Amino acid sequence: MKSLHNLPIKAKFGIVIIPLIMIIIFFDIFQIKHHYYDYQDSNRLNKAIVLGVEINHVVHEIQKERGITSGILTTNSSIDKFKEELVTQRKRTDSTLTAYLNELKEKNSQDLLKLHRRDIDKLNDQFGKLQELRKAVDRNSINTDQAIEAYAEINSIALLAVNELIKETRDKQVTQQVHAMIYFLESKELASIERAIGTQLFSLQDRREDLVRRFASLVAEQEAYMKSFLIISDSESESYYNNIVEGKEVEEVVRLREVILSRSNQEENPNYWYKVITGKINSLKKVEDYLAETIHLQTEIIASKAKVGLWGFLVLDILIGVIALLITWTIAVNLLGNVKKLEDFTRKLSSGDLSQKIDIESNDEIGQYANTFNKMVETVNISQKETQEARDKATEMYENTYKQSEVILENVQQGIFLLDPSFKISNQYSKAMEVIFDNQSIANENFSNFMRPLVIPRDLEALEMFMRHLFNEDMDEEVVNQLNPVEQVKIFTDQDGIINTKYVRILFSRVIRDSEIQNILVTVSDETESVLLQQHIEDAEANKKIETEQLLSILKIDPSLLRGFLFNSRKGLRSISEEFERNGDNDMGDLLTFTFQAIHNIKGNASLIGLQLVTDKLHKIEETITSMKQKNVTGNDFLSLLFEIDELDKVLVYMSELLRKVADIYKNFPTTGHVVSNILVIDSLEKGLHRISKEIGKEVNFDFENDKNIVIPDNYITPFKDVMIQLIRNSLSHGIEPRHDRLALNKIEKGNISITLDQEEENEMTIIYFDDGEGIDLKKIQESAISKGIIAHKLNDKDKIIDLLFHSGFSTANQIDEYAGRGEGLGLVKSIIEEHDGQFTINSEHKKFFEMVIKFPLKGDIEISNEV
Amino acid sequence: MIKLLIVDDSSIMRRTIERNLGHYNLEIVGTAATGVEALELVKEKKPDIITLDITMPEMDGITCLVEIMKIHPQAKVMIITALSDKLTGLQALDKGARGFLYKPVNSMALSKAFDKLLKHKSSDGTEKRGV
Repeated sequence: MKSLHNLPIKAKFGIVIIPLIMIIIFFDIFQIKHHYYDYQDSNRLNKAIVLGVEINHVVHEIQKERGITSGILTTNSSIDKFKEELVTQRKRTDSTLTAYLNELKEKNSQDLLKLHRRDIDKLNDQFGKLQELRKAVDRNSINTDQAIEAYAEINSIALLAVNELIKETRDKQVTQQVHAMIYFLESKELASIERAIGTQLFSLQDRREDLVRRFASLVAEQEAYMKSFLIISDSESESYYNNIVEGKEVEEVVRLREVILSRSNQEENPNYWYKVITGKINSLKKVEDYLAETIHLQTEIIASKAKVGLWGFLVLDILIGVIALLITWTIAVNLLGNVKKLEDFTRKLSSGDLSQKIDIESNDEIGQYANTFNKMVETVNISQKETQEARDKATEMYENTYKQSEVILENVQQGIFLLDPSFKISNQYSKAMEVIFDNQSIANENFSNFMRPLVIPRDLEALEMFMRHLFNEDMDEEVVNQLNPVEQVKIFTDQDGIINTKYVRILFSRVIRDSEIQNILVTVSDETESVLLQQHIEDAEANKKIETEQLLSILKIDPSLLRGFLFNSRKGLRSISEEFERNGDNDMGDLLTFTFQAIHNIKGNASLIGLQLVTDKLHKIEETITSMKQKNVTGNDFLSLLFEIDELDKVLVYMSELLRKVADIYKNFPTTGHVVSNILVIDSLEKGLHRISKEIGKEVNFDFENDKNIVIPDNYITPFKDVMIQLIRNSLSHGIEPRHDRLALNKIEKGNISITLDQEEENEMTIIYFDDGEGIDLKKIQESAISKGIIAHKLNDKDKIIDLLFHSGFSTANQIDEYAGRGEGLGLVKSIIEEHDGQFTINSEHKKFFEMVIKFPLKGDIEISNEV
Repeated sequence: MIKLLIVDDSSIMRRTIERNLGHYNLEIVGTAATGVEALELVKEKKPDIITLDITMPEMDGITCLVEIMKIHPQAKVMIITALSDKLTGLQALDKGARGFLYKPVNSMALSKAFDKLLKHKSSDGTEKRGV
């Protein structure tokens, strides 16, 4: 079925038309055949009738011959006239027989012969018997009855043949006529036999009852056939018959029949019978001829009609066929041509050629299609033109936009790109991406693969999960974005083998088109600078905090005290480096001791004036030195120490600068500096004392006596303070006993430390330092000194023993801490006093008190020193 | 009436939610301090919304979330946590959480998050956010 659908139109046409043509041709052939048969039929019938007429002639003559023969035989040839007549009649019969045989030989009788071979053969056979019959008659070897029978036999066969020949027709009227004629011939034959038997009856002397009965039945039969003929024959034949078969002879036959049937025939002459009945039979013959002629005419008319019909039909058929073929051909050619045109045209259309027009001069559907196509092409052309214009415009716009976005992507500082649902980075991305990630291959990379070498695995895992949720429509974008694991992320990029650390901010936002998440827009910004700046700010703030602390601590301290501290500290530090230069690497031990003393001194001062930061630093340096003392030191080990000292120096320089600023403020608002300095120094000493005593856990009363209102000159403030600090530290560490010891010694619970200023002479200032502590245990000092290898054996002089206290490295404290125990304190005191041309004496009683009297020379006016 | 279950060991959460979400027509059907308690309450009350802390004694929030989803998959779970670890938060989304808030929560953030949670009818699609 499908292959039928797929056939080209031409083939489809063929399939539709060819069966039609076949049917028409088939029908035509059938029609032609029918017509031809009609024609052939009537032709043959014609022939048959001609032949039948010939046979009838023969039959007629034989009938006459029979009549004569019957007369001769009955009368025993007594009548010569009969004999003569018989000879003549035989000749006549033969001549009609010859005519029949001639007719039979005719060429166009062959068809008939073929069809009626049996009948004709049989007939000819019968005719062949005629000569034998005649001989038998001539020899008189046959009686009348037998002769009549033999003739009747021949005629019967002949009539049968005629019957067979002519009854074969398809024309109803002819058929009726033929049947009528057959009845007529039968009747005529019976009439002929009647003649023969009548002749016999009239000739016979004796009545033969059987013959009479035969005669009666003959007449009846004859009349019945004739009646039948008259019934079925047409009216013309009937009236012709009525006109011909009448008159005296016919009446005489009727009369003579009556004679025979009434068996009163003796008086009648058989010749007369013969004569009248022959007259009647001749009339019948005329009717027969008429009938034959009529049928012949009719069949001829039918034949010619059939011929005309055949040819007419053929001509018309061919004509119509040719016209129909022409029309079909034209339509088919036109239709197929148009279809081909349409096909070519649409093929061109489909290949995009819209320049063509289709030209079909027809108003049928194809023509209308063609028109529609033309209109369509026109419309398409117009709309294509419009589309082209729109496209040009769009292209221009796109190019503009593209260029713009290109420019933006080239120049924007942020990394910008799109992610597709498979996390692939878009083709287009901003140039900044390459800079931020130090990577050129970005387009079409999987973003998580891209980030893999840059972030830690945990962040990567989170990123993948995060992106998945971003593409999940069911998840709220804001909720997901709260969990952005790379909102600020540290990445490690490799640039020519150098690992760079960067801080980037990566933000994601959904790109929604047609209610679906099409892409994720990702922006990346390099925040390294701002993050570093932030860190910087944080560092700076920490520094500032220290500075502020320092500044605040400086502000809390009397500038002259601080100035003195800084001056001496820096001098002390300088002396260390000088010592290093001088001593080289000869005696590391000495060098370390010197350094420690210097640092310890500075520490004491720093602690006293409450410079916690500096104190801490100094303590650290002390620890370094102590640890160095434990091992064999080399020159290299000093480097770190010197570095620490240098660091400290920087701090001191910085503080000097701060102080200068503060001094400037003081200069702008001048006061009687040294008085303030005095108050401040005493205040700071007291504060320091209480601070240390609290930490050590010994309660001490401090007493400052200055009845003469002595003002310590500026140049002595520092040494005064330095010495006092060392003494206070010493008292608190070694002098003042723990509470229970004091109670055991009947001392008051709290210890007492006092400083008294006095001026016994004009050029001298006296400072008396006193504590009610343990005093000096000479015995313990000696033992300690011996154990430390300072002296070899016991000393006798009390002053010399006391001198041991000032030996550097001597300390009786068992524990080393910030305040005591390094055995440097009193050594420092001694060197400071001596440095300032001072003198001192020590008074002490073991378990009672310790007193140090220091005298400094006073020279000139009091002045405010700017030196720092 | 929307049934709400608060899974948090602090009573402050409960008070905060009560104070800020009064107009939502919420019924607090329970509070649980541990995951085990929470699961009992979920089983019993079938709450519509559950706020869930991540750091809890005995059973951590993620495990609890997984169990809740097994018992009552229609529940809309909002994680409210002080934990700043993003991976854990993302894992919670993976396991079926619908909302996320960092502690300490303020009233605005809370209202906004609840609005979203109530508007976005999860997977039944009755209401989807427009474009």
